[in-house]
Amino acid sequence: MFLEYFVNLRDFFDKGGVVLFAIFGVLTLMWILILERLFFFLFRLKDVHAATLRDWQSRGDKSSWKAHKIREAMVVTMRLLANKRITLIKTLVAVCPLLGILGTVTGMILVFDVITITGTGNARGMAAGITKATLPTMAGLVASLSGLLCAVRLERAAERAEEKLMDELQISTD
Amino acid sequence: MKKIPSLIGIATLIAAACPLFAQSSATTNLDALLERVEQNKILESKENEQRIQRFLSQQAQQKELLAQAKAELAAAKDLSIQLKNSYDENELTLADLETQRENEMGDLGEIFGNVRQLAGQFKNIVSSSLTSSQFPGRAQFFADLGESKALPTIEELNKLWFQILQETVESGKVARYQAKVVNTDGIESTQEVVRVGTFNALNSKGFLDYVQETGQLAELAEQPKARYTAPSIAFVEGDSQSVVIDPSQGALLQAFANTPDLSDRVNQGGEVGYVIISLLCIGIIISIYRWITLTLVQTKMKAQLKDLSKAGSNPVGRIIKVFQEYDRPDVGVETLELKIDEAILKETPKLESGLSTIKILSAIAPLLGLLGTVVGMIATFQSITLFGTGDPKLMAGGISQALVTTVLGLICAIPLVLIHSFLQGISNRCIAIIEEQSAGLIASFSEKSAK
Repeated sequence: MFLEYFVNLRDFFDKGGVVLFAIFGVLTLMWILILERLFFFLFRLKDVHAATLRDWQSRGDKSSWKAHKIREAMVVTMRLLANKRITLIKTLVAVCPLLGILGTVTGMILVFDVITITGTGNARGMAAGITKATLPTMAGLVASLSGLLCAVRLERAAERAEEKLMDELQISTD
Repeated sequence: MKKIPSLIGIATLIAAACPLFAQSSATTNLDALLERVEQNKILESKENEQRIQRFLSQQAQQKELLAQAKAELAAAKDLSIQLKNSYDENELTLADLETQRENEMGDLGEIFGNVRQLAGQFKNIVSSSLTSSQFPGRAQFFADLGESKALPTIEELNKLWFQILQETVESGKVARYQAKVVNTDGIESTQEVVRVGTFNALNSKGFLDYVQETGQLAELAEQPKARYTAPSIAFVEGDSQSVVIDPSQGALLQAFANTPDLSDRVNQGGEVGYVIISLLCIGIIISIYRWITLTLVQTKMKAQLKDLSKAGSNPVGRIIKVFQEYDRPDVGVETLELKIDEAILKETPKLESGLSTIKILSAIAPLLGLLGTVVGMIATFQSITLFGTGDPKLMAGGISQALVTTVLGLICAIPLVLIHSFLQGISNRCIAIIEEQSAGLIASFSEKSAK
């Protein structure tokens, strides 16, 4: 059964050409990064949050200029941790459709190669190039869409983590 | 009769020569003339009479000749009738013999027609077949046999049969033989050639092309890729049992030679293509430089953040120096903050320099690709205006430019976008550290060291 899927996949890549491999590589990288972020938000975030909160609570001085700066530094440390690689994920999401277009144009070049060699009569020859033009576009869009929602959700999660920490690190007014 | 004008001429001569006594002698002269004309008339009538006498005397002789001619005519007519009869008789005999021959020939007529047709068809096969490089001069025999009106002889029929059988047998063989090969410089030499059926001929340099017009083998101007030629050359050398053949008998090899390689493709992009490639090079050079400097700064900063006691020569170190200088009880908090902000403002441009250039390059590249597309389409439409749409190959140049520049634009933009995002990430993190984090960390460090 897996062999069957493998054969189908291999046919798909054969039809789509080299650009599909590039899209596949970008998609894999994107999802590795997304899963890593997901792991961070689900398991690591709680510990980091609790540790930072404990550090702040253990401080005596919570109102001086230095205390303000230290609090700011804690929030920024959390932001840097939470936002790590999210920009890269968003860039990869943006690159996928570009790769799709690249595949389209290389496919069209193939079509015109066929026209140059055999004239416009060879519809079968042209069809291979047209497949190479359309499959990467579709793959690029699907890959991009699959990552787009995750990228937006991760960004929101990072923002919320920062805001939550900012709320809980209270400055004493005395 | 000829005498009359001369007489008149003499008369006028005399009249012109002697105008003085014309009046007296003119009448006598004219009378003499008249007299002489009279005499001539008599003479002529005499001659006429003599002629008539002569004709009358010959009349009998003429009649005799006429009778003789009539007799000859009658004899000829008799002969004519006689010959016509014999012609008709011969015609009948001929028709008889014709039907007799046809009866005796039976189906042979059809067979000879088939032989001619077969020879004509086989001439085309033989002249385009690769085996002709091994057995030259066969096409002429088939051409003669196909066009001749005479009945083919037994020898010719046997030869036809033998040649067809030979072609059939040879087309299934891998043969080694000496043949004349024209190399790419046009120089002819006899060398060993390996023929694989009727598909391909090979020599030690690779595939050969059979030129039908000259009946010679020619080296290809451009051999296909090494992974196709290498096993075939090894096969010619006798090192290998496997061989790559072109089942289309040379058409695929030609197509391989015509397929543009990478440098051809890049050249199709034209000036716009070169501009895009140079932009990519500039972008990559800037990226590499920025990546090296940013990584150096980042590692130094990280080391500095771990050990805040000694201020090094990096952004965080310089902020620590400012902090150490102004963190005194006699300096107000506002002054300290202002000084730190000032130090931070000095550091940020260094971290961000060059990144906007990479971003702009990544944005310009697809636009240039679009420009190339439009330039190519203009070229295409110009060629349509000049030559019409009849020949797709004339339009192909512009279309290739249009597509290749788009591809180049994308190929240039995609890595630059990724690189920009990567470098921007590093630089943003560094800026966040020096702008917001460093002050707090230094503050907590100074608190701890004060205790």
